[in-house]
Amino acid sequence: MRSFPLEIVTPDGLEFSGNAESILLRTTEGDVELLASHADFLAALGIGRARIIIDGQSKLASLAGGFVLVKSGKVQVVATTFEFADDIDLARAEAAKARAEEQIRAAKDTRDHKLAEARLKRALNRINVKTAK
Amino acid sequence: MAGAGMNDIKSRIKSVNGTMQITKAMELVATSKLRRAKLGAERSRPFRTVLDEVVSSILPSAEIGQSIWASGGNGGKHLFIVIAGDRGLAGGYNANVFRLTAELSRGEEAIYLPVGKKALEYYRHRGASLLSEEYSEVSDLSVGDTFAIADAVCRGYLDGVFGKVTLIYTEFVSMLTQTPKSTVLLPMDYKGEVSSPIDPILESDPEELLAEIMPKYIGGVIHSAICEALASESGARRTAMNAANKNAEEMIGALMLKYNRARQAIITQEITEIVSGAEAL
Repeated sequence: MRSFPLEIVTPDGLEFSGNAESILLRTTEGDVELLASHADFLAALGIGRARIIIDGQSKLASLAGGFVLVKSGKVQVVATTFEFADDIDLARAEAAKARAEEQIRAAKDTRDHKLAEARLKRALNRINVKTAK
Repeated sequence: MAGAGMNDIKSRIKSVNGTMQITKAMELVATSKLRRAKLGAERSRPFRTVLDEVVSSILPSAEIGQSIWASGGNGGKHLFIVIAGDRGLAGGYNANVFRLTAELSRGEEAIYLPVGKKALEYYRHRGASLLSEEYSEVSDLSVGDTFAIADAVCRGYLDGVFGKVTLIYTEFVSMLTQTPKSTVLLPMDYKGEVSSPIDPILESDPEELLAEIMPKYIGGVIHSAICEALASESGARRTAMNAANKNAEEMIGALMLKYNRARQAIITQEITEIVSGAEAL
């Protein structure tokens, strides 16, 4: 398969830089898979799973928020969080999930509730990605 | 007489020594913090670079260029996000940031969002109008907090509370050089630096898409500015404390010389007295 240059950055640093054959991302509108020579493209990212294929090997990652830009065949992913399945700490994600559930129960207004819900969603996403392997 | 002078000098040497112990300890602390903060600043740089690259290449596209984000907000006020330190004793670190802000805000109807204890104190003391007093500890801010700031900024911009947003922070150039810097966040302004503007396929409605992307962009820029500012603060403090140590050493040297001279003078005087006393016999 043909490959394309891919760059993934998060506030914590450069997560990935190199050539990939495919990247599947969860956008706010649904899953999108980008291959080599994709047309210029811009989308906002949601919370979900990402899958990258490098040298025929597929790698899973959890993804939350940000955006993706394809420009002249180069794909740039700017994510709030992006963690490869290998880097996910399952115990921490479980703890975050329990904490978020607690917060949802304790939430007083809709804003608190929404924040806690987003937290829970991120924690569940991490757990799903980690256990899908 | 001379003995009293000696005691004075002795107590001054003691006090300078005490100060030097503090400044030495502070230098050590700043050095170890600097190492960590420098790593943080370096790690946040690729994110900032890609962020700027992406945003500057989508701006010229017609749908985005005409949106409220690029064409200017409705409010007449100008928001200044000022990132300073939590503590003083860092040379001109805080003062330089405030000076740059004062220059930029001259003649503007300004509203401030101070980040860091010193910034909060400074603007509260002056009775300036503040957007939020929540962010008083710059060293404790998490990535989540920076995105909360960005959300508040975007909301205020869309609601017409202010029409322009400028971020002021200190850029970490090197261990010895830190320069205060300002970035206009909104309305986005790309100054025609784009090498190859594109008109990408947009996944959703442009306004909706930008409403998603902009808080992330602004949060990212603020995050990287905070990383830079933290490294700069430690760097500035280290330099300041290093200078303080050198000054203290110099002062102690000069005082020691004075002290020894005074001591010598007393001895000479005593000898003269004894000798003249013996002669008189």
